[in-house]
Amino acid sequence: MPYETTQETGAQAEVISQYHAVFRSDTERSGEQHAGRLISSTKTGESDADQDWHLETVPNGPHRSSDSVKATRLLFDRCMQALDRAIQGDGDLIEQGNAFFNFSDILQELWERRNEQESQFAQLVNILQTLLLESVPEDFSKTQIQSIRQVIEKASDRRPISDEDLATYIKILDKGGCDVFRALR
Amino acid sequence: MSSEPSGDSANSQQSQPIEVFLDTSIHITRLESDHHKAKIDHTLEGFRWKGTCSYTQIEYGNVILASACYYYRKLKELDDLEALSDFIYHHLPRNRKYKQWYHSLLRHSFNRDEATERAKLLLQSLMTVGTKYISGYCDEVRDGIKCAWARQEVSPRTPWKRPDRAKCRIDKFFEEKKDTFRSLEKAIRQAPERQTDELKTFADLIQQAQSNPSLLRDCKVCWKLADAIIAVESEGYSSFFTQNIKESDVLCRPLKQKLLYLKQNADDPVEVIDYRDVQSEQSDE
Repeated sequence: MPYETTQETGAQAEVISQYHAVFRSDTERSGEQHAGRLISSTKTGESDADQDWHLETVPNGPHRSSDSVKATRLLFDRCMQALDRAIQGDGDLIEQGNAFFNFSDILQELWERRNEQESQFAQLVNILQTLLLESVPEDFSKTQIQSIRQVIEKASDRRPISDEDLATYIKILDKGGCDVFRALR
Repeated sequence: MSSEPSGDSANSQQSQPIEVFLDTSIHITRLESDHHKAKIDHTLEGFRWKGTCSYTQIEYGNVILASACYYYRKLKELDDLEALSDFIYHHLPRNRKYKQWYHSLLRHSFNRDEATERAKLLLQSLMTVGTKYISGYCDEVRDGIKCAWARQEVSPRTPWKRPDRAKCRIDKFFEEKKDTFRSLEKAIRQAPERQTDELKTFADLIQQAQSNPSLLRDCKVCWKLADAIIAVESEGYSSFFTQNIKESDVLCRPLKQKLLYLKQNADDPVEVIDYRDVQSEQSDE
């Protein structure tokens, strides 16, 4: 096991830290039966899908540095600024369009950081990006933009984002008139 | 039967009721169809209070959450959204209970790997919000039966499934609402020309449950009474919004409700059938 190695490369150290995160999560979650050891999927009888779910729902996400947290917060702030411009540029389609393209670019930067974050973060960014798919800025009402902004503001205060938070964000977006699950169809 | 175009006129009419009760079909269609969603949301704008009940959450879970869980697992297995769509289109039997989602927007907007990853996340989100999605746009979720099924959480590890039979109070709910159930039974029996197999089952079960309400604690029996339970939960609401015309057309009468019928064709207006004044004849009989 890589735990016994004392001189890991950077990549190995990253893998180890992820193992530790999963291990801690498993121990917290599973109680006596699994506590204190890593168990392979063949021993627990879990399918690959179950194992993947474990990895994707690690409460605190993969190892995340404080720099990463700061960078994410900064991107959330920039999202809010872009949306503020879209809201304030009422009637000015060019200003609204520019603000929206800016917002879309920042969401892409957040998406690229998804592997540093918890699954719920990736889910949220995915939802926000799919809202913009095949849409033009004029498609969005002020109420819809405000609901998106409200969600981003809330998310920027949450570290990490929980399932309950995500459910709340989806409800806010839905209530604001955003068609959250239209990409399913 | 009076018919009036809903949507626009519903919002402007002075006699428009302020509250509306949403049937399961509305929750499911709202999630599944672009055109219907817009029509539903527009119709709901005319109401200040939107209600539903926990039984609709169970049915929503049986259809939407069970599908989400199934497709998530299938997507994990195939690891390709195109392959999943192909499976749904060509191999999934049409009579399977799972809804047919193709994730078209994702497939056309991203490369295969990214579309697959995003589809997994979206299905995860649908499971994460679960039945709470419904309570997001409803002001009230009535829960007279207190069925544990409606509050169940779902994930790929814990698929949506029926809980133990004892976790509800359907028998007590039936006792409390016996008069309402009986009025439904009476309305069904009085309308043989509108009687469907489902309505006939409702009437027979209501009759049997009057002497033995505990028979409803068998989930398989309770399940056969689904629309009748939803109708009873909607008592007091002056409007009932549904896509299920055959049964609701009979059940809304004794409850003196205005039936808002969302048709399959999204281009058709919502039909409004007002039973609020019709009922006095029946109660006099």
